[in-house]
Amino acid sequence: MLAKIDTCTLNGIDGEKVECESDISNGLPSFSIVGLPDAAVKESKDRIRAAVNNSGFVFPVKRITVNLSPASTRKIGTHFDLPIAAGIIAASKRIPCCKFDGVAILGELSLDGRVNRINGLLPMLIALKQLGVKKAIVPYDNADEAKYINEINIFPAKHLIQVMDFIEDEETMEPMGNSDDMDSERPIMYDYDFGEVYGQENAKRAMEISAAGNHNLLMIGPPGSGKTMLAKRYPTILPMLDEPQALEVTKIYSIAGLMKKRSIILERPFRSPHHTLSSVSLTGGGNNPRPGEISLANHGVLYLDELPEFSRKALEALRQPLEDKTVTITRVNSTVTYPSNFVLIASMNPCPCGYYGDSHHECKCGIGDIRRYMSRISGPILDRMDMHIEVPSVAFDELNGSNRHFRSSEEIRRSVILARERQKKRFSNAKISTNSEMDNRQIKRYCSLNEDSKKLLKTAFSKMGLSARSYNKIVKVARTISDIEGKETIETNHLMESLSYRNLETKYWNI
Amino acid sequence: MGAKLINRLGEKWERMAESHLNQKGFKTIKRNYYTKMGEIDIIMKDESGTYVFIEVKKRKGIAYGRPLEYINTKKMKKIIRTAEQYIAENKLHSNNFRFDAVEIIEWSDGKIELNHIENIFLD
Repeated sequence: MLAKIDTCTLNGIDGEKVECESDISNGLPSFSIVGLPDAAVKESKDRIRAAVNNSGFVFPVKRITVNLSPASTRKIGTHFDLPIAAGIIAASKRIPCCKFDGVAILGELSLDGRVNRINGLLPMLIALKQLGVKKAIVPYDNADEAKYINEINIFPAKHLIQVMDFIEDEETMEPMGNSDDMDSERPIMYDYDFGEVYGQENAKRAMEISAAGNHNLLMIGPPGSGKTMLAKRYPTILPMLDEPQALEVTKIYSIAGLMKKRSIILERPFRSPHHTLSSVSLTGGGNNPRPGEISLANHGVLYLDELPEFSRKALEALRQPLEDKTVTITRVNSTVTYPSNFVLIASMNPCPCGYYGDSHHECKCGIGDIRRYMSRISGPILDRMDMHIEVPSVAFDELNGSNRHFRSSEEIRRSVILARERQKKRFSNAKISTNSEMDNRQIKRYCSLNEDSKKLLKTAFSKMGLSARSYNKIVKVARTISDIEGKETIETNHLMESLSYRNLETKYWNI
Repeated sequence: MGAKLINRLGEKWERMAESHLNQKGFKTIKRNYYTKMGEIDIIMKDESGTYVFIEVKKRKGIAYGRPLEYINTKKMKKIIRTAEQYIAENKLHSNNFRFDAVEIIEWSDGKIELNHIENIFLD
């Protein structure tokens, strides 16, 4: 007797339909799963046997063959337990195949037959929806992720018995209601605010520009000057994700198993990995590729504190994703592409002791030590940082005395959102939405410079020894500055400000 | 030679297991099926017509573990291969099969404990 049930597998962040066929025939008792199952899928054998027996069904003492087709793609994950178990029970009870038409089943089984949560539910449901599946049985524990998927009826299941009852009689379960209104999940409150940061106006301004145009930012300063404090507040000035972005971010978090009972992620991700991380955990990878930090920071911020402490391999691995905004991981088993459209915020000290160039402390480092320390940041990485800023130590008066009002996160965010809207309008015909993503042709079209600016840039180019890439970055940043000010064209003062964010290379790297 | 000697020792207990199963409704098909790779103590058919290959294990007490624990992977492979041979010889491929065990413990006070365990090999 045969049973066929639709289910799904993941390839990168997209799902692929898988048909789970269970056949029970006479012969020596055996249970085999074919169709390139991964180790975790093979383990499901033992879970299924226990779950079936403990749910009051009889696990047939027969020759059981389960095929996961297409048999050529590798199947990863624990969500095959439920369709396989349901298939075996159905085949042994001789439930006709047509009962499963148009129903997809996903879920992991516990030994007592309960249905456990799975990773990657959202991307799999999106794929099934696109393939025309109308009903899906999913684990109750993470059914929340399915809340914003319409056109597909979601049936959250808690137990294997419930699933079998549903197959025999569909009336036994109610489909879960879905919603179109993501806005109800907003607003998200942050514990931090830029208003709490005294002084550092220059750095705040740079962060505003960086947030408005998605520009990478490098902060250099002595210990305790507030670099980390500033970076922590960076997400508070970013606008919320729009719907397609939110879905993309949620897909990745769903795959990584980081949803924690939430239905959708609307705030921009902020990832600050420790500097001991490996290049693989940064870019993603492993035998069965998993998204890394750069993909988890997609549409958000990747903050690398103490940049020179990161391993060279990890830092250099950032080069290509920074340019392409995607990362392709190739392993023997599979090739997957994850999005990695993030803003890189990095902070570092100017020398090993931390006080080189500081007005209050003496730097104890030898020139060789400083050079060695700074050379850990290679030219190509430095070149990819759009803006370099100094975060000097703060004077006592600024910390203590004033009741001065500092701009709150909300004020800054308002100006960021305005600048972003201007960019969106400008790029409405293109695939991009921020200035940092412009390619050469778009730079030529949208960033025309006046005569004065051109002259200024020419001098700067030769004096500062700029690369072609940094030239582009300077123009892009200037474009963002003029967007913040609401101007149509790039003016000379915008360009001058933009150039000022590139002059640290000479100060710290060419000593 | 050796097999026959052991068999004489075990025969009493195998008969005991057999009569116990006969009472349960099992029909004896063959006793002591020998091949070069191993032997099956009893081959029976249960009420539903499933062929059941039965291994009988007997111990005095459980000081060295229960009798069932002496059926290890090596023994399991032997039994399965022997069963395959039997199935091939008699062209029984389209039937249902099962492997059962009967463990018999002879306690020091002379009491006999007999357990019938169904479906001992899961894969």
